[in-house]
Amino acid sequence: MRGHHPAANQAAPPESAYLSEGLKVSVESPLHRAARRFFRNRPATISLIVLATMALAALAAPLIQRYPPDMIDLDNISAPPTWEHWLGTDMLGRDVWSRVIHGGRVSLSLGLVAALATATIGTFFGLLAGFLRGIVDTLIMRLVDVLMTIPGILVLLILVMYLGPGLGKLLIILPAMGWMGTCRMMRGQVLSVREVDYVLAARCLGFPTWRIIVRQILPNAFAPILVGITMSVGSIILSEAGLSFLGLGVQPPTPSWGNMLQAATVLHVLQEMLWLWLPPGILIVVTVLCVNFLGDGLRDAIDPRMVL
Amino acid sequence: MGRYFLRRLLIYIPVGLLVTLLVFTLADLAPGDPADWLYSPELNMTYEEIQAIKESMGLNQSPVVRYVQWLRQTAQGNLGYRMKNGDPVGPLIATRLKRTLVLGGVATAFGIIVGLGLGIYTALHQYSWFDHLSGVLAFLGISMPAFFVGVLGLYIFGLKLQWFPIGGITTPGGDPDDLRDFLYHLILPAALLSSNHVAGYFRYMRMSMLEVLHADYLTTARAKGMRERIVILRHALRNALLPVVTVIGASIPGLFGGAVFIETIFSWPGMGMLFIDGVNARDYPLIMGVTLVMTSVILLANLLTDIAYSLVDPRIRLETRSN
Repeated sequence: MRGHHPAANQAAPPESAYLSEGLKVSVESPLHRAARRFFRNRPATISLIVLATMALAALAAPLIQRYPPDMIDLDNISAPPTWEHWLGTDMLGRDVWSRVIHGGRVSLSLGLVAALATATIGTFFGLLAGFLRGIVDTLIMRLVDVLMTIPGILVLLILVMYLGPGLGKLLIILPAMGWMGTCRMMRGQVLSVREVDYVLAARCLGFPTWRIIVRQILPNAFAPILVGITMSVGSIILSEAGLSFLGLGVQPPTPSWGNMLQAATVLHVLQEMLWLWLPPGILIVVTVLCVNFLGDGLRDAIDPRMVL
Repeated sequence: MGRYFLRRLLIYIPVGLLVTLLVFTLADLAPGDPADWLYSPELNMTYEEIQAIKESMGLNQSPVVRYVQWLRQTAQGNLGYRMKNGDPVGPLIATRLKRTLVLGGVATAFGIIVGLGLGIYTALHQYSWFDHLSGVLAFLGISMPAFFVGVLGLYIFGLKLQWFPIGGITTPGGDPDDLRDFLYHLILPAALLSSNHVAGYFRYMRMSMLEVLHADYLTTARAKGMRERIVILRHALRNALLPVVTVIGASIPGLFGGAVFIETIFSWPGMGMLFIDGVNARDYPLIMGVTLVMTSVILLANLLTDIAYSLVDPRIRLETRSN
């Protein structure tokens, strides 16, 4: 499109221009338009490529690993990076490169699954609060206020203390503490559309509430939910890493970026063995950076009110 | 002003009560008996005495009554005793809270000075190389979690360049009341703790300032022949600061969250480290005490933010009055 029309960069010609050209009306589908707008955003596109590469590496971890992640090489203990061990080995002689890609598997999949769970819980409570209003609304929103007042890491640590650490527990704890943002957003969405004509029309036609939710509310809230999921992938990866860094998240020997970074809490490792903590740390930052760019890009691309 | 303050207070009271309810529920779920918390194990009481106390405390009562009892104890400053050694939790928290408030306060001040300063400067010099550089650094600052910033900062400034000490609040063996030594130990962790906030404040300030700079009343002010400095400082900045005030207030919980990591990395014996100690030792009274105090501080900070906002923006006050 860009190649054919030199003017296309500035503004799309008004629809009447197409009409006068002999009724060649081609309406761009919303998905197509969103994709076009998304790929015009360079940081978002690069982030998508980086994240896709990392996801691919995580998926293919057993194929691109050079050694099993828990194999102990007694000849190379605490060895700096060499051709044999690209990122060196840790104090037990395990290959850091293999552990980094396997750790990525843990961190990324946890981020994705927990973010989906977060969005589901948040959407559910948001819909509940928005539709039932009254006492239910007050209770839910006050709970949201309280949970957002207490620093998240404190509540996470308290829950870990009661339930115990571990990957499976994190899958419950992290969504349980991360749904408030989605809930607020969803409630706002419901309140803003519930008096809109098409919802009123649906109600006049006697449609049950669940049908209005599924057919009218949810499709309209798709964009913010998608952006919300993306952003919470980032915050969940950070929470996991933070808990694991304190030794209360994913437990060794299962590698995760957070518990690999924990090595840096030992002063001589921090000073002498850069290869142990720098790669997982950089990967955490790059992932979160890319997820944030991706979220920004998605929001700009999907929101029809944004003019790009 | 008084009415506005009262209205805000009325919003925070139920939130504060809900927080205490949450803490109480968690405490009630914890193994052991609240009687074990509220009376120091060092008193060496007999079984009968403890039973009598439980009776007098109403532990055979319904949860509602017990909640009120607990609330009364807490309001009187009795946060219970540590399970580890029977030390009272209240005074311990008081010492630790001071250190965390110093750390957090300096970090916030640093964030405000650097973040707002940079934001104003780059907004006035939009699209300069400095603007671009700051933008990239700010995005990095926002995406860097406190634990990685802390580790990286400790490595670069503490271990490699050796500009700052690597931990603690004073030099071991030195005079513990030496203020200069204390400040020397404070600078690095406070600066690292503020990195997230510098970046956040900067982005907000720049955006807010850019929005204001296009306003018509600035053109009017210039047309009246006002000096550029007055136009920027008095007309633009005052309005641009409004939304930033709320952002600063909203970032306080995050500050405490970051303090947990920074204090752990720099062995800064404040609330964050105390909390981690409590979690590792499963010292329930300690954990509940810390949670309660930290949340109260945050609620107080929120209230102060609201007041500050109403002070800089008269519209908020007037709106309340007209309602």
